[in-house]
Amino acid sequence: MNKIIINKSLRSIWRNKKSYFSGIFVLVIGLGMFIGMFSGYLVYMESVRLYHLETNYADVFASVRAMPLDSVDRLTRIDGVAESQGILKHDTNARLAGFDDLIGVRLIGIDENRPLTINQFSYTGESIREGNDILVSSAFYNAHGLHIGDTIRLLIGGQYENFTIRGTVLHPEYLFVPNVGGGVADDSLNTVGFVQVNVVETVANMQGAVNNVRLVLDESVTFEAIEPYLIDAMERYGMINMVSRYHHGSYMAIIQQSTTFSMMAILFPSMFLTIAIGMLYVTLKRLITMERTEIGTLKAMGFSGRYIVSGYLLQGTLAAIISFLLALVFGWFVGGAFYNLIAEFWDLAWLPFVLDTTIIIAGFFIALGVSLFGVIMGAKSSLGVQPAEAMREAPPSANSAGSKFNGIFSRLLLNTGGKLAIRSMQRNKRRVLITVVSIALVFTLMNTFFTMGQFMSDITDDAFLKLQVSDGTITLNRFESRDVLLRDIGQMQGVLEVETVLAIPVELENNGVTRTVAVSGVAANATLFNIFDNNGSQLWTDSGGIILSRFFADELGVTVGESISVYNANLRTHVYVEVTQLVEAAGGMGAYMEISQLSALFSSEPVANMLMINVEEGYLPIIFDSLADAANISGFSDNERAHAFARINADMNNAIFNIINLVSVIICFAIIYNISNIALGEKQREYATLRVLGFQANAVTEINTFEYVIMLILGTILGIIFSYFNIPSIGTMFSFEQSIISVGLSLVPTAMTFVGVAVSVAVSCFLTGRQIRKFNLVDVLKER
Amino acid sequence: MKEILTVTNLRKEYKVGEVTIPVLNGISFSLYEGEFVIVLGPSGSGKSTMLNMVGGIDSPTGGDIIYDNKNIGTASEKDMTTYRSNAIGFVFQFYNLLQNLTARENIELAANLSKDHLDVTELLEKIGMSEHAGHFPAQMSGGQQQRIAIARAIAKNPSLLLCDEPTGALDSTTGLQVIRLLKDFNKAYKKTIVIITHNAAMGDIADRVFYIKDGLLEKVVENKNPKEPEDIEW
Repeated sequence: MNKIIINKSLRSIWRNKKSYFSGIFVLVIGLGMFIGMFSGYLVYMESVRLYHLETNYADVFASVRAMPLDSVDRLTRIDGVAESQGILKHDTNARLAGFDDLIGVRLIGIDENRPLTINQFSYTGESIREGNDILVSSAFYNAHGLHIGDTIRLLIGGQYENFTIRGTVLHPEYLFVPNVGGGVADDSLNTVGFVQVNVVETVANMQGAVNNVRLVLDESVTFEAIEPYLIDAMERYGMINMVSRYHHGSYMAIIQQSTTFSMMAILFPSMFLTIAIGMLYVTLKRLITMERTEIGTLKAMGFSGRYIVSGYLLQGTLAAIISFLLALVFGWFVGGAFYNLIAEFWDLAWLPFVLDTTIIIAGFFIALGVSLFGVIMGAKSSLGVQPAEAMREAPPSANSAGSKFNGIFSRLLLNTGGKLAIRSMQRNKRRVLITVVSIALVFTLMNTFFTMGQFMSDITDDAFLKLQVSDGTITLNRFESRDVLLRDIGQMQGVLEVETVLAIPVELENNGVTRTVAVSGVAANATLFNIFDNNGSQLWTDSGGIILSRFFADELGVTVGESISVYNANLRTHVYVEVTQLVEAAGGMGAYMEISQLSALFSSEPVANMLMINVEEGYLPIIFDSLADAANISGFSDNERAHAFARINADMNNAIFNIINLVSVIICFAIIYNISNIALGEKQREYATLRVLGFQANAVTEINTFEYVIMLILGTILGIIFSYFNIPSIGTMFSFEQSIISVGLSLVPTAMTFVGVAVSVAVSCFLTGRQIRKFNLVDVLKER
Repeated sequence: MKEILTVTNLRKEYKVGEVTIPVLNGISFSLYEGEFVIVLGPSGSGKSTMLNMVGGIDSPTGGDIIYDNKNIGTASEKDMTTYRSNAIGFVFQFYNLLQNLTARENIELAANLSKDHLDVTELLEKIGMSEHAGHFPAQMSGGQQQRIAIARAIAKNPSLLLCDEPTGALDSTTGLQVIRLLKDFNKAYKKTIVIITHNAAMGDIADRVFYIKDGLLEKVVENKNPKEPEDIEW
């Protein structure tokens, strides 16, 4: 390639810099998101993998009533168990000076003679040296602005004792603050507390025994294979439940987050990359087509096709390099920001964010591929013709589709200007296709986020205003007689209503498929704990049997009328219960029974471990205070406060979604504006002719706008179809196993999306209209 | 004959950076109803610039263009468009037909601009293009396209038809047919037609010939007995 061709290419880029760089802009967005977010996802996964490896994360999590330590040690005699560890846990309450609310604390006993070898923890600050030293969660520590040496008063054996905060703890089981009191975990109201084991022994009234067991299995052994042996070994100690790491809340939550992350890292950049491919193709093809006559001249002079195309390949390569470099910078920021945002949620030893080398290389080849595709397709049409022909304007093709439109549609609906717009679209099918698909993809993206935002808001409000509508919730750390609870709490001053709930973790099994779920036992006439389906219809537990969410029913392969096995260590045997109703995708626990019927499975008398109360105004803190010293209560939840906290989380998610949507609108505008600019370059002679004929600028602008209105309508229809399929699948990705989010196309988000896309099209048409008004008619028309 | 347009001391300058390039240096003339005018002059003399300003697609640096008691030279963009819409028909050297419209639709498009438009079917017949009414420009020869362009220009029944080298891209036979067509329109509809050309022989068919040189109207020659297009040497 000689210097003249290089100069010609560079000047060509400069002359068409607006189109050239707006094409690059979209590629940078797509590529940057791909490189940055995918790298972030890989760092996330590697952080989790390394953290679990370094902390010797357990394969099995079991809770028991009480198991002697030597019995825990003997579990390693079972074939396949590599390591075992007992932990003593107990939920209690605490007070902080200057903070009125009761704090829920999950105490973990640390024995310096038996250091934790499974799920090892690390800490910042100082170690626990004295009997009244404590390490707390960093989220709790930060929420209260605590310092090392500050005091927290723990309820130990019915009395508050001062403990000195020595630092914060990092433990793989508590990547997020445990939700001690029910409802949504509030950083300021919940914490773990790592203390010397004798403290927990005192408060739990349990010496030389533990209530939690952690196991590491041999690499070749699966949980399912060893589960019966473990149950056999532990059920005599009152096994409450046992799950593999894959069903442990901490693991599930972080993997769930990774699924969301991977979706964000792959699906959405793919949409932008698809648009970018189309955009750059249209842009580069247009730039080369504009030089058709020059190509003809060069061919006439005797230059080879290869020689001529080398200049355009240079343009494409430059576009790739510029896009790639800018995408690296953009990806660094967007990927880093997103990674840090996700990492904020979890207390984990995160690796620093870096761009992944493989992804960088892949990104470069994507950029190069996209750019050269546009160049080659553009050059193909001009290089393939004879020089004499190339030196003339490309003749527009008349097509049969035009006459079809001419026959019905246009005669009935369109005036001549309308025909002009329709025919222009017919002549530029690829450009129209790219525009329509781009609109559809942006529409899908925005609709998805608007829908998710609305759904998260709705599910948050529903949880407190529709499903569990009490003023407060009291969580017990053991089963108590339902009648006694109703009587005692109901007699308290200020209590208006009281209902009991029994929440028990069980293993449901059907045809070899097992799922661990907490069954909620709810009174048949409950008004504070309600069960609704997606359509807003209320379900009652009076029909007997078990009510399952559709999600669980599908997973287990059962339907109404069939029986499933319910197992819990307390039951000691499998009990079969008929599935009586299915809840369509309710956000909730996923399985419900009438409370007496559920109690009957476990106890001779009706029992409960949760209370829901409605109280007179101002009485909730008084009631909580009066119950704070009760040994059988593990937590309190002021539901108005919990709702407000949940709303903040939902609003934060919505803010992120809205930022993404705003960016989408800008990108949509950039796409439409760029394509309309390219199209205007092709049509300016026609539009100038219309102006000379006597059409007012507005009339010409209307013809142009009409074309984009049609594309907007087509893009919207396609976008609605895409959304119809996309939104439910993304809903599933966002959902947790125990509370499926089933969400579909809905009116308000779709309408908001349409407004967003329509605004970007309108702004683009407005700016194009201004260009039409500024046409220099003489200059445009004198060109051959 | 009735005077329909008066041009007085028309000037046009272009500024390229700090350099001012004068194109028209003060041209004055009048156009009369139904006359056939040929404008001759060398390349760069200012013929097209003059025509563009008379046609309201460019604005003068100075001077007046009076049509219907209004100065087009100082009119707003909207008034200029209205002027073009009502009074002017343009014919270009390279036709400028709308590629996405058929021959009939191209003519209809212009006809729709005027309440007093001519009948499109009749026009197609007169230009001998009835059989090609449904063809797109890409399916027509240059001569056919120019005939459609002329029909389009005259369809809205303008007072003034301005033609910028209408035969410049055509062979002599086709060029003759086009001029014949224009001449016929001139007679049939009594429209004023101004044609810019390099072909000096065409001066013989005009009622008046304007000679432009260096941005000035060098002379105006009145032709008492204009010839028919077929009688001149192409």
